[in-house]
Amino acid sequence: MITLAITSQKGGVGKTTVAINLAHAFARSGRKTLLVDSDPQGSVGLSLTRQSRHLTGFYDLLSDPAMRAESLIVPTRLETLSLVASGHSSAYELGGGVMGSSLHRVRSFFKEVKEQGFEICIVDTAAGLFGATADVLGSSTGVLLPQQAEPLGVRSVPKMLEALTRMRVVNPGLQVLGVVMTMVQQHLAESLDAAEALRNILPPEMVMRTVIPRDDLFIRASAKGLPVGVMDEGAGALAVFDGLRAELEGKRNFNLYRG
Amino acid sequence: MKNDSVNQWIDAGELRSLAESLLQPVTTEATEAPEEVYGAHFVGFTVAGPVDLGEATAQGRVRTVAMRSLSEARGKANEAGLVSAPESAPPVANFPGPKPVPETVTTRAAEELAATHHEPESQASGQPVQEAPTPAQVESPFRLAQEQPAQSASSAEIQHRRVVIPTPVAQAHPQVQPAQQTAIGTIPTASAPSGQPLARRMQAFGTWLKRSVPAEAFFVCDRNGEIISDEIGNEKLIKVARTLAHAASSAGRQVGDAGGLSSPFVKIGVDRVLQVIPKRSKFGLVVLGVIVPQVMGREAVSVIAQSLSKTLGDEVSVPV
Repeated sequence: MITLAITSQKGGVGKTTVAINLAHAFARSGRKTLLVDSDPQGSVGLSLTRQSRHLTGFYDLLSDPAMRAESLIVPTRLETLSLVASGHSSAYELGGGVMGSSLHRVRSFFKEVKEQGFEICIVDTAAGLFGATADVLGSSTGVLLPQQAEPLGVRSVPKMLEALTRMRVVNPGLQVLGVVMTMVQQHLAESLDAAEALRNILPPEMVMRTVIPRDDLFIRASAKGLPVGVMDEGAGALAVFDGLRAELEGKRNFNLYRG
Repeated sequence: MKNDSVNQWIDAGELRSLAESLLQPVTTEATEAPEEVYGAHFVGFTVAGPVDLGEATAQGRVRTVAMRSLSEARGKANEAGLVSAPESAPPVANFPGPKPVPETVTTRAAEELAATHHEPESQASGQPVQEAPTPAQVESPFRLAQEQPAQSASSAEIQHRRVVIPTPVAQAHPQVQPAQQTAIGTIPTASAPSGQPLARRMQAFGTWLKRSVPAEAFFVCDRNGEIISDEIGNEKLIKVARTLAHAASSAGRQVGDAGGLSSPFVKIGVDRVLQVIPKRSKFGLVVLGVIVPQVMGREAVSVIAQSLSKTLGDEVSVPV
């Protein structure tokens, strides 16, 4: 099983959108996929289920050693896609979510998920590479970095890469699959310039060719609690995330059966 | 200029270099580098609970019996003059070789302690104050042991000072000695010879210690790190022991424990534990560090602490 963390240093860059729709794309391709919400804000649950506030989830497991991953898995209408909600406890209730405090539990959780037969586990994380997010990265096999195509977001990239370098001391097996530009606005020069600047600076294999455009459809999809690709007019978005999935699968270091 | 909103804010070269390093697999060299001081077998500290060696595993019992038999055989060989080499401390396997302790430090510490110790004894007995031993006689007792000829080791004088542990079965059949008899909780305290130089007394203490417990090596220092006796020559271990001893001493004061300090320990390798036995004496806090295969029980620690106290000529513990 590959465990893919969707992480960024900065908030509001589209992590949850990427996580939901990428998980949907993997599930549609036939991979048994689990989408885990490790963001205490519970954005995945709030996007996809009306009952998310009542669901026991990831943070409950971290705080309860007796809890099993199997009991947290929520099936969806798509047979190959399941969810684990954020849960009732937050990182703040877990002693501020100190890095390393949950590392063993997170690793045990992924092991149990693997035992459930999942091929890929996509984890939507909170912004910032610390606390429970750091423990997720310390346990994951790969990380994808959504990056908002605007100047302020791009300026935060060095700090994020430095943090990832430190994370690879904890988890030498962590593979950085790349940066995916999000919220790209074709009509805004600053957005296009920022995306181009980052692409010029970073090694080509570090920046995904697929870009996620800013589109009102994402807002409408979350309003209905659906992945954007399920929407009637979502064929274009579906193609975008299918492209991102294929690009990830085509990466040299993307080994679906690792870990 | 195009992209100024980004390029003027970040170091493009540094960022690219950082990104390229992230695309490379992590070399495990750094994470797998052995701890230089402790050696390749250092597995980290542990919080394992104390285990009384009387209830040790079968492997530990076998090791205990084997070490004791070896020690006795070595002693008998010395007595018979069959072994030309003197009895010396067994090497600490998988540890850096003993570093020679600076003679000046050892000598000064031993002289100071010996002189301080001899004064009250001599005054109490009405005898003239003994002269401090010459530097050649008060170097590390283990160096002394190595320089001694075999005949010296088996002389009546040395034999008199040796602590003979009453183990009748072992004397008759050392190889079939029941493991239970190696339980250090049952050993008698060392009969520290009085009126002898401190170096000699420490030598006798070391011999007794190794016969009584499966100790691989030990050191004794004062609270300032001045070496009284050292077979290990590992400054880092000694520093760790001093730190633990000070912590135990502080904790002991807080709970009003005047004499019986707790004995902290750290695991320093596979089947290798550094047991720290702090002892308050009239010289101040004295730290005994012993490398043993397993953590010693409270009773055994108490016996060893008493023996150390006698060796230092400090029959009555004095809170510092």
